[in-house]
Amino acid sequence: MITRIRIFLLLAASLLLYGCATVKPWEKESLSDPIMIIDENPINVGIKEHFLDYREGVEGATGAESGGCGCG
Amino acid sequence: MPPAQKAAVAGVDKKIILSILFFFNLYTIGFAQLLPGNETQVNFSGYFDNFNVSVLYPSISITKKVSESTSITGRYLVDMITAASIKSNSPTNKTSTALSKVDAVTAASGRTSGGGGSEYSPPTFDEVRHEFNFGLAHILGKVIITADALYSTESDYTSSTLIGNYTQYFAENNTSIQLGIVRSWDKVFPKTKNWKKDKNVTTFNANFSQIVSKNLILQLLSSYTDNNGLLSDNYQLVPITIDGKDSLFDPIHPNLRIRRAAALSLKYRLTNESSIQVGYRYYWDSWDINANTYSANYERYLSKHVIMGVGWRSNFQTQAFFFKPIYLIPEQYMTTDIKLDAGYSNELQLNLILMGGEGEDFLPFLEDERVQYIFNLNFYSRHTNSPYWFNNSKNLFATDFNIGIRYRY
Repeated sequence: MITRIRIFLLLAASLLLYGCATVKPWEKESLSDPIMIIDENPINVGIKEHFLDYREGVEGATGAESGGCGCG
Repeated sequence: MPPAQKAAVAGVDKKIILSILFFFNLYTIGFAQLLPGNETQVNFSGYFDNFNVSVLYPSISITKKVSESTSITGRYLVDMITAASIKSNSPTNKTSTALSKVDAVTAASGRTSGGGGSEYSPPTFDEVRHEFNFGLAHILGKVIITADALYSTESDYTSSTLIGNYTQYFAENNTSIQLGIVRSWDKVFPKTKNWKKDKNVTTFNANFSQIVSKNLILQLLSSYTDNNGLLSDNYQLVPITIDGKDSLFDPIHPNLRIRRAAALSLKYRLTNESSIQVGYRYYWDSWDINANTYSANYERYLSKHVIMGVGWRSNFQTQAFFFKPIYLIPEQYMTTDIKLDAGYSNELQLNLILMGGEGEDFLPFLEDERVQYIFNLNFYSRHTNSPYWFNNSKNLFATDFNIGIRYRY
């Protein structure tokens, strides 16, 4: 477990440093394409998570946020 | 300097200034676009499985940009559950009168005592849940602050939630860090009981997003959730045979659960027309459930205005330390809630997005570039190590769909 967390933090730190080598604004045109947006439709993501919360004992770290319901 | 040369230099200067202005404009426009724009979205979603559960959940969401730096969102969702297992006579179902009032699979309770109909009546909506959401997003320099309030109500459960997020952009907007908090105050009052209990949930989120190159975006997401109060589903009764006599006991879960998850997601452009997203999540909690979730999604333009997506998701989880398929005697903690058992699930996801726009005259409803039609169809299967006591099945097969219309203006 500790190893996994260390790897995760190391990855985050290295990516933070990588951020110094920035992509210029005019190079980002392709990133605004709908197929390049992570979770382009947040409402759909929320609907999806709601369904999975019924069926599995795990949740979190999906970027979707919702309130409680009596779904169990 | 000769006038001709002067004019040439001035021309070059003008071009440089225009270029700088253009790039600056692109930069600021790019940032402003991070704020949700004017949009109305209507979704009609449904879920059906082999445990005889059907759920329909239509929703409507309206977002309005009230100023250059602020937008507001209102959303309404209704869950309508038809839980036919309430009325079914499963061979392994040793139900009591109390249990027949609710669905053991979804915990849906009848709108009236005894469910939505008599034992053999056609399916009706046995539970209806209403969810209201109001949100606000505001840009402050290079920071986006969002706040949401959510209220959910059904016949035996209410939930009030506040959500706050702080997102800071830096490194020419290539990097963002998001910190969020979600707090829910829930009230549980099962129809088969004469008490009301609290469940409180606090979640802290920390997310990191990085544009690595013009073809690669990366996200790291993490969450920490503190659940306390009544954490059991009191319709998921525990059958125990004592001295040859079947009895149903209330489930007893620990009243504290700490849930943690960390995830990595990568989006990579394969070609001009296609991209792939891969993700991994590790989950662990204080009930000894550990899980690994893998996902991959491929998206491709079929034409200028049509995007097709195919995705796969797999989840592998261990069981809660107190889960048992069968209890011989009452214990300190007891549950038969099948989602706390060890098992795995797989899902095939099919998506289609039709975007309106020029050149789509052959389909009149696609002429307007502000309109987007969304179709999702997912096939889900879950296998648990133990059979579910209610229907003696280890395998759940489900289909869910969503049809959405998104209108941006």
